[in-house]
Amino acid sequence: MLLQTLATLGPLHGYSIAARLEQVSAGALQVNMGTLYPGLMRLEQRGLVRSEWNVTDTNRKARFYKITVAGRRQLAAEKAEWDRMTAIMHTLLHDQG
Amino acid sequence: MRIATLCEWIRRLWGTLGASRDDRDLEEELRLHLELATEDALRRGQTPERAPQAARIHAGGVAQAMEALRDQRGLPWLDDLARDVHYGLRTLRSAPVFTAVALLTVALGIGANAAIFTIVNGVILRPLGYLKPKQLVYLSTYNTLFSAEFPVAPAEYFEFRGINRSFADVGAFTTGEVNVTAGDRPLRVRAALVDEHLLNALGLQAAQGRLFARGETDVSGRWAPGDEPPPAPVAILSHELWQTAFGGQSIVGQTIDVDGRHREVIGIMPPAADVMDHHTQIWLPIGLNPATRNFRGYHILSLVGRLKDGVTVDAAQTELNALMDNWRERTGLGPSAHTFGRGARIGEKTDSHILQMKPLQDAILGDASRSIWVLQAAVGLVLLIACANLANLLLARAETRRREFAVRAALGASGSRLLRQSMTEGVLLSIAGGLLGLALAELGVQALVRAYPTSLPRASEIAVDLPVLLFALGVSTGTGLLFGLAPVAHTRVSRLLTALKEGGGRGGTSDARHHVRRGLVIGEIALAVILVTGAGLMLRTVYNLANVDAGFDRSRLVTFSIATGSQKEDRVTPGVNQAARMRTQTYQQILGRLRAIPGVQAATAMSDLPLNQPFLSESTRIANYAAPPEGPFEAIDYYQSVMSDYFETMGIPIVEGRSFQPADAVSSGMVAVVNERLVNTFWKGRNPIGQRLKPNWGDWVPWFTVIGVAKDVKQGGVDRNAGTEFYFSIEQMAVAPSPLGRAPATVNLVLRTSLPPSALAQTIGRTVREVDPTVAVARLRDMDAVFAESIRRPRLLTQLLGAFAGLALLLAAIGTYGVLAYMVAERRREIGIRMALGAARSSVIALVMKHGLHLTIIGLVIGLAGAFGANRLITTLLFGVQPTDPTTLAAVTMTITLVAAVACWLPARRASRLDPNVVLRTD
Repeated sequence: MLLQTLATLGPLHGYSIAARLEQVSAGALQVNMGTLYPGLMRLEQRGLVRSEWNVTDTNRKARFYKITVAGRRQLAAEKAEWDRMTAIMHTLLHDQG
Repeated sequence: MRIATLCEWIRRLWGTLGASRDDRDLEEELRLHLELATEDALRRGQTPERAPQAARIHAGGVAQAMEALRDQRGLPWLDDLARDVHYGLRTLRSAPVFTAVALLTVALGIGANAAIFTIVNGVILRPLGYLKPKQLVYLSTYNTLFSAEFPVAPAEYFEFRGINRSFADVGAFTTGEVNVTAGDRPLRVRAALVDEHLLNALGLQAAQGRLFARGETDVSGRWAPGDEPPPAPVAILSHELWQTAFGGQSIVGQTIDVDGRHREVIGIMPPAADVMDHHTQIWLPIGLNPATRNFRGYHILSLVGRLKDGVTVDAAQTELNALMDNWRERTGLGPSAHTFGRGARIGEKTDSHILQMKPLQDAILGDASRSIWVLQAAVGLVLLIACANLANLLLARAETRRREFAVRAALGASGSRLLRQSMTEGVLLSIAGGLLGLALAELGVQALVRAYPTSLPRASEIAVDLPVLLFALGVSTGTGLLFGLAPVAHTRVSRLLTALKEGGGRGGTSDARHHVRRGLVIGEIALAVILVTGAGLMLRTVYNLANVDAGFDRSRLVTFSIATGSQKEDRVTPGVNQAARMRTQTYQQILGRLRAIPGVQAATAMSDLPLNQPFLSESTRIANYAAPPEGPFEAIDYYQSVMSDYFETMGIPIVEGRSFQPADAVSSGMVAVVNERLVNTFWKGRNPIGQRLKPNWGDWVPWFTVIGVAKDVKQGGVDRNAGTEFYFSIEQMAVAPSPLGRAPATVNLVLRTSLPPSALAQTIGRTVREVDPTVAVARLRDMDAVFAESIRRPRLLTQLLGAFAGLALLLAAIGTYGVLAYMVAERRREIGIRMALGAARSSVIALVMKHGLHLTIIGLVIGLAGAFGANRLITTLLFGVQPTDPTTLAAVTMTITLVAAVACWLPARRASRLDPNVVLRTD
């Protein structure tokens, strides 16, 4: 999810990622800081995102996260896997009788 | 400090693992998040006052987020560990007495274990220092009738070399001592007489020069026992002798004087090169002669073989057994019964001895490994007691720290987190104690090896090395986990909350906890009983050994040894053993001068000192005796060659007939003195004087006529039964016609004198030098020292076991004391009320004592039962005492009860001194 957001919108800081997720999910997903930032940190430790301090449109200092090449690869793989799983589930739940 | 560097190291590791972002950086990011959320809330129409709160609700707490981030950033367990260690150190520092007692307990427990493991490792576990040591085996003959091991006869050795297939090489050696003259003084050095095959089998290479060449160690020509033609005049020096006696100077190619004969040094061995733990200083050619084939009873050789690659010991033994079955056909001795070795003269039945093998390492260790394992088991028990004590200590502390743990649990620490904290403290204590213990072990082992250089095989190889360090580390950690676990297992988190509510911490403690503490004390006492019983039995053993009547008067005897070399004269006169005559003259001259020294009442010489004789069981023909099929057979346990005055000087009573006289030397008939046991074995009910017997060396040996019967002497050692003894007169044997004529090359001289050895040293040295300047005096000491030396191993075992038992007793006493003291502290109120209601001091003492002695008695009963089982393991190490010896058990019971009574009395007295006023007011 985090990776998809970054892949779609380019470099973002933490709050805008949370806001975007909330917006896209129409409020169904409320991400709090305790989940968001450790998640981002884990992605960074795994080399899937990179982060650096930068200035926002409103001239505030913020840490911006950017997806890496490895991150895009991972995203594609995860998406394919998810699609496969949902397809299987769909078949099981709907097309079985 | 070492622990501080450890902390720093852990922090650094944590920093590197957790990237470079510090807390400020993380907080900054979270702050921005909240700001933006607040702005959004404002935008959504929240009032400026409510907006921050709404944002916080929406985004979650900063503290929780930071905690999660920190966990993500580093390795949380490592992070926790660092904090636990830090906290643990602070806690331990804040309770210095507790820490000191605990550290000392651990250090003693682990130190003793590390010390004994150092011995186990160096002596038993570490492979021998040869190339592929697992391939090396020791071969000896085993006589199934006597259940005894003997060396191998040269004839058998030659035959075996001819038919063997499992071994890459088999070599032979004997050991002895020679005089080496370095500078102006002769030195007595330990020699290994070897053939070139032995050096090859061991895989030894010369560090300088060369080793023996093919055939260089053999001789040929006329041969008789004790009158061998000399082998090639060459020698190889050990590295150690080269360094100490010759200053490490270039010596290869030069000649040195060995037993008054010139020998060329052809090589130097590498450091520590040795055979069978003999501490060989010089290597000489053995001079094996094919002519020895006719002397099948001449069992003198030790054999070492190297198995071919891929051949196991079992496979080789199987092949060996097959060879045994048709030995005679294979070796061309003729198709008689499957006799191996000595001819069939004394009947096929007496001759069932076989060639057997065992790994060289086992052969070197002998029976020492059992003693060493017993010690390891003993220190293991000591460590268990130490653990129980520490668990008790920590348990008591856990009681007082319940509030602390409760507060931490209330603040969100999980149960497992508290457990880890407690374990960390345990491990910290045990590792610090372990380091201390390792230092103790190093000191202890060094002192031990210095004090008892000959009591342990492979003593030179005992050192604290990597396996020992790993062992100590493992034991420390295990110990720490063990006693760190105990307190927490009984401080359940659910109960902690109750503790918090109780506030004062003076609430009732659970019975379960008491049971654990009592159980630990009972266990400690039981283990201590086992150890003290073992030590007590060993103490009795050593006492018994030290007070055995060896058959001669050991007081006021001074002894030393001289070697006159085996080849004094190269000149051979037909029919006369010139060397034997020369040697005997030397002995007589030395003895004559010694007798003239003021303060010396008598002097004599003999081949071997009593207590040190090898069990020979020499095949001997005995007139007027026909061996029944079940024995006893025609063999004599000990042959002893002695000079005149032997029986008088040693104080061995002659019960019948007479002892040797100088006139015997010139009489033509060979004479013998035997002992009572021999008479009772072979000539029961007959007059022994005038009976005849002769060694089974060959057809040419004349009969010896018995002229006297002496009382039995414990020739083989104080722990052995006296055997049958056959005394030869050195003077008469020396002048006997060849090949019988012979004289021992090494003799032990004994003086009956009131002077101590130290006062005689100079005089003796000068006297011997005056007679023969190439002869060195060795092992000058009194007979008591010879006795002590002969029982050195049981004595060492007893001393160590005694020390460990004492330690166990002390720890168990401390444990008992601790539990009772704690009980008294806990029941102050109750005791105070009792006293306020009129209880007498004595009844308070009785109350506490009863409680403590109750524990002691249970521990005693369990311990005695355990000792019954455990002491069966040391039965073979005992002498003159049964594992169930009632006296020892009674003494142990008394000791334990006494120690426990003291341990109980101290807290009991304190309880009785309580002032009810003070107790009740403070509560």
